Amino acid sequence: MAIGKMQRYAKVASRREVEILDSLKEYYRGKWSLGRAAEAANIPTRALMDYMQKHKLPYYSDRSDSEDGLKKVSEIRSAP
Amino acid sequence: MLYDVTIPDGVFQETQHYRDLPDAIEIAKAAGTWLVVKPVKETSRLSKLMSQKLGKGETEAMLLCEELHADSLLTSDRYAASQAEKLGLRTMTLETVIRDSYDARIIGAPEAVRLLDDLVGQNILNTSYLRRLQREAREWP
Repeated sequence: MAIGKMQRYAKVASRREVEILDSLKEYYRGKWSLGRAAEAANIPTRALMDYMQKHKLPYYSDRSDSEDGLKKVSEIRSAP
Repeated sequence: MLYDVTIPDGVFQETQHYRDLPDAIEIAKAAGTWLVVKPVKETSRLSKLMSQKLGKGETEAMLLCEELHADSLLTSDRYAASQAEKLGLRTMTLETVIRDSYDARIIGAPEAVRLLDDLVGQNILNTSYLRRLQREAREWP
C-alpha cells in the first residue's frame, strides 16, 4: 500500500518535472518568455526560478546562454 | 535616486507567492517607499498580449510601461524584451542598471565588481552578459 502511494507520488513528481523541462526548452529556444514557461508548467515564476537555480540553468541573455540551457535541460532529462 | 521604479500589481503578486523568502520580504518592505506598485488600467489588451507567449506579469509590465509613458522596461528576459520592443517600448537590463549606477558614481568600481561577483555567483544570473560586464568592471577606474 505504502509502496503504491510512493509510486504515485513519484509519477506525479516526474510528470511535473517533464512539464518544467518542456517549458524551459521553449524558453531557451526563444519561443516563450520565462513567465509564460512558468504558466505552461503550472507553477509560480519564483518556483521555476528556484528550479533553474538548483540546476544551474541561466537566464537567456544571448545565444551562449541558450545553448548552455538547452544542453543542461537535455542532461537533466536523460539523467537516471 | 537614479530611477523611479514602478511595477504592476501582477508582478508584485508574483514576488509575494512565497512570502517568507528574503526577496519577497525585501520587495514587500520596499513597496510604498522607493518601489511603487500600480494596477494596470488598460486590461482589455491583456489576453491579446498574453497570447504572444508572455506571462501575465510581463504583459502587465508592458501595459503599465505604456500607460505611464515610462522611459524603459526593466527585464532580463530576452523574449519579453523583444516583444516589448515590437510595441515600441525601450528596454533595459540589470547590466544597464549597474552601468548607470557606476556612471552616476552611486557605486564605485570595487562595489560594482563585488555586486557582479554576487550576481554571477547565483547560478541563474550566471549569464553571458553579466560575466562580460564582470570582466569589464575589473578594469574600471
